[in-house]
Amino acid sequence: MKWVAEGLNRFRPLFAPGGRWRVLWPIFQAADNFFFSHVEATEHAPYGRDPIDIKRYMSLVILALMPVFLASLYFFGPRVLLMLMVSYAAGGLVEVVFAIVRKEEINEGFLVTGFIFPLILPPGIPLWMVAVGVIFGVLVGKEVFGGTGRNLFNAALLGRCFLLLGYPSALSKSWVSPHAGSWMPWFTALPGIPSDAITGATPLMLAKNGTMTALGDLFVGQTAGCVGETSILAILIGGFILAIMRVASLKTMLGSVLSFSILGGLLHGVVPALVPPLSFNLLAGGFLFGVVFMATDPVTGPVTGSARWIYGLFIGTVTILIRSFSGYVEGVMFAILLGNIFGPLLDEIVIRFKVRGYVHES
Amino acid sequence: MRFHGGYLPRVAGRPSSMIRHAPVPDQLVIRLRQGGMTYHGAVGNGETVAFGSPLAWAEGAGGRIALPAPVTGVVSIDADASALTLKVTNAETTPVWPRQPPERIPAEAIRESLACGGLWPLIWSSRTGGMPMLDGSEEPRRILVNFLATEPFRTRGKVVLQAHWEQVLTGLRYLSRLLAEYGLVHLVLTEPDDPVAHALQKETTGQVWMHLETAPLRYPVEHPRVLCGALRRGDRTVKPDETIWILDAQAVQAVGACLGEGLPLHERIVAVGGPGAANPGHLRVRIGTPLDRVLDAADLDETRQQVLRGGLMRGTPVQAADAVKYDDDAFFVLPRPAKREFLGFVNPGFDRVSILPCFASRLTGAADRTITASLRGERRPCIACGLCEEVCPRGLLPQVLHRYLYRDAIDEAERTGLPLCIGCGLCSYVCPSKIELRHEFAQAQDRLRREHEQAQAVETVNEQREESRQHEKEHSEDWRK
Ligand code: SF4
Ligand code: SF4
Repeated sequence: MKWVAEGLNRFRPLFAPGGRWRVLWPIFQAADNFFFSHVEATEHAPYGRDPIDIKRYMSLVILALMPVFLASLYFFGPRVLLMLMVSYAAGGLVEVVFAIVRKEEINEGFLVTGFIFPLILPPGIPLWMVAVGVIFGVLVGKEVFGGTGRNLFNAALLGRCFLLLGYPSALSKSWVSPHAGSWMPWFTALPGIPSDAITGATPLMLAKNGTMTALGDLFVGQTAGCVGETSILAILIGGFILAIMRVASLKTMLGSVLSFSILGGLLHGVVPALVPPLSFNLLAGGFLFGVVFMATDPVTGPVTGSARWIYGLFIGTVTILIRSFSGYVEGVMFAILLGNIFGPLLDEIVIRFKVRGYVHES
Repeated sequence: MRFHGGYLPRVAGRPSSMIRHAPVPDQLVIRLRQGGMTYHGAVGNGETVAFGSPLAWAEGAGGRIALPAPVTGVVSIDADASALTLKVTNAETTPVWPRQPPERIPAEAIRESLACGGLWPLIWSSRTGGMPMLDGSEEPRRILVNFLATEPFRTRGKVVLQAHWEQVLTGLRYLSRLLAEYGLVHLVLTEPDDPVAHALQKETTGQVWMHLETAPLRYPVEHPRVLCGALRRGDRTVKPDETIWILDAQAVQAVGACLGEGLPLHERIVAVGGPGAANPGHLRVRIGTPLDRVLDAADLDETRQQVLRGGLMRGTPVQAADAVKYDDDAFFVLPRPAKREFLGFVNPGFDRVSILPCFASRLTGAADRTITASLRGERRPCIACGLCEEVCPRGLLPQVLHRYLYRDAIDEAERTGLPLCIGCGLCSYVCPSKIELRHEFAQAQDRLRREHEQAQAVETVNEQREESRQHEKEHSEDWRK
């Protein structure tokens, strides 16, 4: 720790105003503040503050994502790690460039976006697509709005949406069967995927053709699917961490699951040919991953507490409707992006209601 | 009573409930700006004033308020006339007024004594939003006596109550004389099963005009506006236009001392706390005592510590050579941030407490020992975590207000409840993005106030102009005739 401080101090003059690399100051500052917590005296009351800060907040999200990440490593092999590195490198580059251009600080929010992005892609996707997707997501989803905290759309989802529209075949054919535990995946770490590792379809696709995957496999994650969405067990652990640390909105999570379950159950009763049983519907596909880690992204949802209930209900409803009655087998991505669009509107409604109370109060 | 939001952080340095006596120093300093009012000296340089006689007067609330001398001594006026120095010749306290029993004293005389005794400004009225009117135009339907002080490091009502049981009860008796017909006194306590509450209950049985109320231990339940709101929400018989007065334990005790024993406001019980305080506890001090006689030398080390007046959430730094004022009840000491922590964001955090249960102190129940006079994080854009909304005692949406003000949409902010903000500071305290919400809102409120005043001024000018035009017209018509 001492040598880190010494190293940083040695390079500080290079990046400081007047130094040769002063334009790269945000990079240095990010590293500096990563290792040593930022200290700034308060100028307004309250003079003491709560110890929670964005770094801690984001590290808790990463912590909650860890079980999912480890599970995906186990099922899909070290290639996942490679995808993560590409995502961080490409997306980080965009973030850094914009920080430098805007002369702002590098925002920790990217660490979460860059982590989630590979987890919502098929494991067999070419690595360059990972890069293209994350660049698009961060650039259009975040930077054009002014960076984390001001963005309308979930950047990772927008990147995936872009890939889905731009390269539909790669996105719908790069599924890999899970090789839990064998050393085979080491070979699939290469940019190309051996064709025999490619499987036909995900459980949701199979279900459309009438083949049901066992619930046990779905729960553990022994199925084909996007990197992070398969292991429900890991997602639940992550969701539990988020919930007890109160980092993600429980209102959104519960609202989504509630509406999804009620509507899914009803629809299965009415049109069992189109809608698989609820237990299957809940466990298959990316619904839970999306609800736990993406719908709860606080920035892109509505900002008021009550609106988060409605937002959750909306996402659950739209997901089940898309899954059941559209050409797409998975609907959670569009549901959340749609929710992102309606978020401000929901806020507006809640604010109207609140304002009525204020008039009453004063 | 029903309360919204609120939050009570566990911070180290809670003052113990022991009360120490600070000896009366040789010299007292009385600032002429106290409690938002400017007083004008009533005595000349070199004059001797007796204990309790007025040092200065201020016009306000339809009457005159005095600053009574806390000791007998010789006055010298400071160069810039912003303060008086009293050289103490005699620190004895002797009754200034003859005692009149509460059953017989007229309300008029009570108001008079409280104004001359310097403690009228300790009463808050829902009608004026500050001290009540002195001219007798206000007869409160309810008087709320608040024994709670949840803001960390403030003097606790229970400590005052234990030390001055009799005076507090006497004070209540006198105060009830100011009530309107069928008025009520509400005593606000924590839990009903607390021994102090029991004793109070015993004392007040049979007195139908006294009600015991309970409030949760969450900052800022002691704020007058919050108390009023909670009372109105919880009790439908409270009419919206009812005048409610609010006093804290120490104010009632001072009323008891003033009317029951003839002693004007001359001393305060102040809490000294905070993680930097060498000796957290309560102190009985004479008003005007310089701070270096109240705090330890280690507390006053400017380079390592910051001394603040008030409680953790709203306290402001003390000035150099400051002294205890007539309405002070707490000082606290925050260490200045010393060094940067290595990989602080992955620290398990046995020694820090957050509103989010994400530090290990959650498991041990430890108090926050690492709090300093620093932001403890970097400033970031709002991530809409919703914590500010959760804690706001007024049920506001600070994150939405912030967004409006960021866009300079002050009218929208006004419509969305900005004027209701009481500046409790909780939203700033919990914000992980370290946004100065409280400060932002206070500034915006100021701006709104100024705009309204200007608008009003313009209106009056227009009216006057209209009048004079009318006048001229009549005049010219007269002339034509
Ligand atoms: S606490 Fe701060 S970051 Fe969180 S919603 Fe409020 S203003 Fe935004
Ligand atoms: S300072 Fe104002 S907005 Fe913030 S929590 Fe307190 S009352 Fe609410």
